[in-house]
Amino acid sequence: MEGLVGTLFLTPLVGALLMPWVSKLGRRAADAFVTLAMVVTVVTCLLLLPGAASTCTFEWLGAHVEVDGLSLLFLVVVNGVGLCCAVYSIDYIGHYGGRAKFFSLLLLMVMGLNGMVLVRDLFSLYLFLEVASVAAYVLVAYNLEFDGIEASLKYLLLSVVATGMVLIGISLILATTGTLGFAGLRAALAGGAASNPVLMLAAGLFVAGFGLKAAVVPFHAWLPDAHPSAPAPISAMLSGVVIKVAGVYALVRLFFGVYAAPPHVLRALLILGLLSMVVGAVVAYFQTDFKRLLAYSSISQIGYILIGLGIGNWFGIVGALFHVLNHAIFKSLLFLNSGAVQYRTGTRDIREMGGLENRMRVTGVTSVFGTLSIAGVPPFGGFFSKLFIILGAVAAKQWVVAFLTVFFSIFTLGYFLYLQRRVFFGKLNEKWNELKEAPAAMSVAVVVLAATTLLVGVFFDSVLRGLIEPAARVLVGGN
Amino acid sequence: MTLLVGCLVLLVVAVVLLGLFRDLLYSALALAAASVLLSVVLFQFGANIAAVFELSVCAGLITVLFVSTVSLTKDSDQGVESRLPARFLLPMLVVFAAVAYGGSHWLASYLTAPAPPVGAPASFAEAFWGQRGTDVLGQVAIILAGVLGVLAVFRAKLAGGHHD
Repeated sequence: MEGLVGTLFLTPLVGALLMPWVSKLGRRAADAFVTLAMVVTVVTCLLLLPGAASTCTFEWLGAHVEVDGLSLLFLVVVNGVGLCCAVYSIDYIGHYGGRAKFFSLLLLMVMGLNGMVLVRDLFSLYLFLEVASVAAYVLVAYNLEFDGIEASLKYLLLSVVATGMVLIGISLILATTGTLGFAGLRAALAGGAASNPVLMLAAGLFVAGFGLKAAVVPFHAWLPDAHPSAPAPISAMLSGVVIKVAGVYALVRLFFGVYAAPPHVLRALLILGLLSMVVGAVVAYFQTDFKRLLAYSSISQIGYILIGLGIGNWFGIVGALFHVLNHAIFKSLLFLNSGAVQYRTGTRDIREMGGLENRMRVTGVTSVFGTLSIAGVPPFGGFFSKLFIILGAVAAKQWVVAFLTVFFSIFTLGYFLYLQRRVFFGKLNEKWNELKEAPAAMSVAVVVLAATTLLVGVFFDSVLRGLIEPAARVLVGGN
Repeated sequence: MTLLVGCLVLLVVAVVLLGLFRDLLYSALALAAASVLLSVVLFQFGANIAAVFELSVCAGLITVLFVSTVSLTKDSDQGVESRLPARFLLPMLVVFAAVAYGGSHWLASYLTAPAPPVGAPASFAEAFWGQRGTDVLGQVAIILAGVLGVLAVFRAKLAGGHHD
């Protein structure tokens, strides 16, 4: 087990270190190397999967490391989406240049996210959050154009505020309890957290800090600029993975695992979730920039996840965690689709598009898969996760929450169908007559993600039993 | 106690100057000075290993990285940047001092007993590799990401304006 976990830390780090030298052997060598590194991490996750129902704890290089169902769910998401994005980048990144540096930074981002998921110490969690964040700041600005650099600076400045709040929260916790290990904290906080104002102040700082990382309304200002400006595979990583691990995972691990889910924090998560779901969806409706629409939709979908967690019952938690998986798949898919469209047309303005499905069949068909899943249409994965969240709301007699969740699912279907019609269907805009399908590696990545979002829905029972329920049990058990 | 208070005051001054300098090189040097002062504060609290780390990595390595980056961008136009008017400085310092004073008193009322010891390491090597080896790995990754970031952002310049 230690060896497998070490692989998840070291493979991306060593890959990032060696990449500049490997790339000297040629472009193909760099492509093969990054793919190999990501395949190794994915295979490692798959090897760990049979142990999802149990918790394995050990010391690794002095750190308290733990693999449980919740870690495994997020590890699968990080490394699975990371592999697809790496493969997609093989053809996509050519026109940006700096291939080796891009792959190295992508691997470091994966390493940081893996580290966050595996460590059980608040300071180590903060440190690996910074690893992923530093790589992300650079990757957002990778096009070196004005909008990318501006978005990166905005992301950096707001993230500094977020991590500053997290660091102050960590200091308060250390000063109060004398420990930062999750197990020690759980024992120290047992029963007394709600009555200690210092610990509740720390909890508030964590909600704001990690909420900003998760781009939850009202802490979302950085996301609508950062995600559209970044290269498409990085948008996919940010939207599909980073906001979930750096935001949602950290919140979940702290408030369910350490603070034992205090009711007022769950209420705060529910309110923030509802705000995000509504504001994200309504603002997305008015967007004409393909990627900006997807970015606002991510804010809305993070809202669903927080609603499920805020409801706090079994259905709600299962739905929220299932939506983490589904959103990672279909939002990565949709961002990669938008990247393919921009790669060929050179624009993100959906008013200039139309009928692209006639020329980019793979991109068009796979984007329909993503649209149906995000809108919660059966048998795609998104349907089942939203269903569980709604069931959770009904079971908790939160009728307004249940109604709003259903309503905004239909609303999401509405603006995504509008997006599909304006971009892929209808009459082909004449200026796109000579358009070609995206290059092979980009198409392979989107086909894999599209197939996955369908298969997760068709075999939802197996996915629930093998991956989601073990993760939910960790939260309900408070481990 | 006098040394501690003096260092803390100078630390605040160094950090404020860091934000006020228009020349990035001076800002980098102010940051290095702040790191040195923080190291002294850490020594005063008996956190010797943290102090050595702060002095070597933050005041040393990070300053070298910043100065290298600044030298790469030195010929860039820095005249158009805006900055906070100086009249905001005094009110900001007053607000900061008030928050720090009020906050520390409020905290002190809840921290009646000293926090339990975290567990002192036997040696620097033990602290570095035995207790926080994973964190060292994370630090290496952050520095690597920073270096790669500088190289990536200035890749066109380094390659003479041509992408690969």
